[in-house]
Amino acid sequence: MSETSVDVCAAGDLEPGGMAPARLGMLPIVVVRTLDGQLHGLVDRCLHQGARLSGGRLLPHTEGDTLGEYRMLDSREVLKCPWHGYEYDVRTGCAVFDRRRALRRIEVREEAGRIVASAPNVSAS
Amino acid sequence: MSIVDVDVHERAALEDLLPYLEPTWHRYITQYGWVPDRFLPYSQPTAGGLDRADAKLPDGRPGGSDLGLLREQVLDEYGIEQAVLTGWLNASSMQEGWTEFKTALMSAYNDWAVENWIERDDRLFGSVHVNAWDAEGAAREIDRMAEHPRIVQVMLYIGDQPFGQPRYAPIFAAAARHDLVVGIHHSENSPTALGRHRYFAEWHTLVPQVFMSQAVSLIFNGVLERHPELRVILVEGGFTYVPHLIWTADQQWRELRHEVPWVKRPPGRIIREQVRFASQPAVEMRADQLTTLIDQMGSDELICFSTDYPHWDFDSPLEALPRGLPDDLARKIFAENARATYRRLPAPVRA
Repeated sequence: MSETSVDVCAAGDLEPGGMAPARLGMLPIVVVRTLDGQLHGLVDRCLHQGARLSGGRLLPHTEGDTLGEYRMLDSREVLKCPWHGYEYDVRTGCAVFDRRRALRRIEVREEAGRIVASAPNVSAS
Repeated sequence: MSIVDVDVHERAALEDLLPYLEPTWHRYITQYGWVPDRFLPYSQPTAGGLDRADAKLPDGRPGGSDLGLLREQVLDEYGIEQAVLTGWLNASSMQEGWTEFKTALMSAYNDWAVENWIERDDRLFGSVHVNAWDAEGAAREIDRMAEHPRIVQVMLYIGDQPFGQPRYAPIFAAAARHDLVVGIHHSENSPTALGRHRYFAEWHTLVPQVFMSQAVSLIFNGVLERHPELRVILVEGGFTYVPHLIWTADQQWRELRHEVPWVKRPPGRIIREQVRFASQPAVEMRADQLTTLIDQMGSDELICFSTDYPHWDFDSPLEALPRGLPDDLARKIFAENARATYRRLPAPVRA
């Protein structure tokens, strides 16, 4: 099994609440730094109609149990598609409305001041 | 795959129209602050508001403001051969009033669209925007704009009036006179059957209601019988409601025909012969579900593909419709049905 890696950006260039798109071979990816400073990598392609999710918005997850109640959960950020608005939990890649539908997660790490993403079995060209 | 996109929105700032607007009216924009009526009580709670987030311009202009970006994101991206521009600022969806100004503004908009969009890319074709509240003025504007060979449609945006009412008759007569399709388009001023509801999600779910209202109005008020060659396309309401519309209208006609004896053909037949439906907003479904719907419509010639660029519920030509459609059906939906409907569209020039 071969692994493909890409240098996404300098670690300091990705602030909490920010996103950085990159390509891992042929695969478009997006690296998200959540407000708690953690890094998360996802395939940058909406499961609905293929929009680049990196053009969307990172938002707090909204919950509510009764009519008119809105609770914003800063601890659970969602990536909202720039087109139709499908929401994905950045920690799991799962669609908020259906956990059975999930984006492929990509491993990301900080390495010598850089953010590096890698995944096995990615077409290189 | 050849693609004709029947719903692409170009957009002007009001100030862009001043060079095309009679000077009499300038000060109502520059000094008195006229802005279009807008009755939607919600914002559009999406990543980019009304627009795809990636279609907004870096300088803050809304999506559809830049021809270069339209080419990049739609025409070139998907190899679209022909696109029908459906515009913005259509006075037909506004409330009645300030009639002369709005009629003049529509005329200015039409001239602006021709000069800045339609004549700048061979793939683009245009719509005549009219103020339907001034039907005689609208008919004169249609006569004027129909002389342009790249105008293929008369555009009516939906407010709260059914367009089958007799006062709109001059508009349909003018469209028929020039072999222009009448495009009827949803707007932020289109209500649901019960007004606006509390949430945008409710209002947007119920968009097809006004299209059913308009189709029923045109059929039972005899507009389509009066102009049997006229083609009408309902834009931005999708198509999943069509079997219900056809089956129910046919049943009512069988039961109540004596009330509308001028309707000679069953409504379903009138729809199949004269009414078309732009595909957007598509809903997720399987190929077999789509073919079942089409079977219930009784014709595979009713759906015309549309993206609705640059709006947030844009439909990708690659992804919006289910994979695995029969090739002949896909060809009809993506191009042939539109070309049969828009008879003023020339044969595409292929490189």
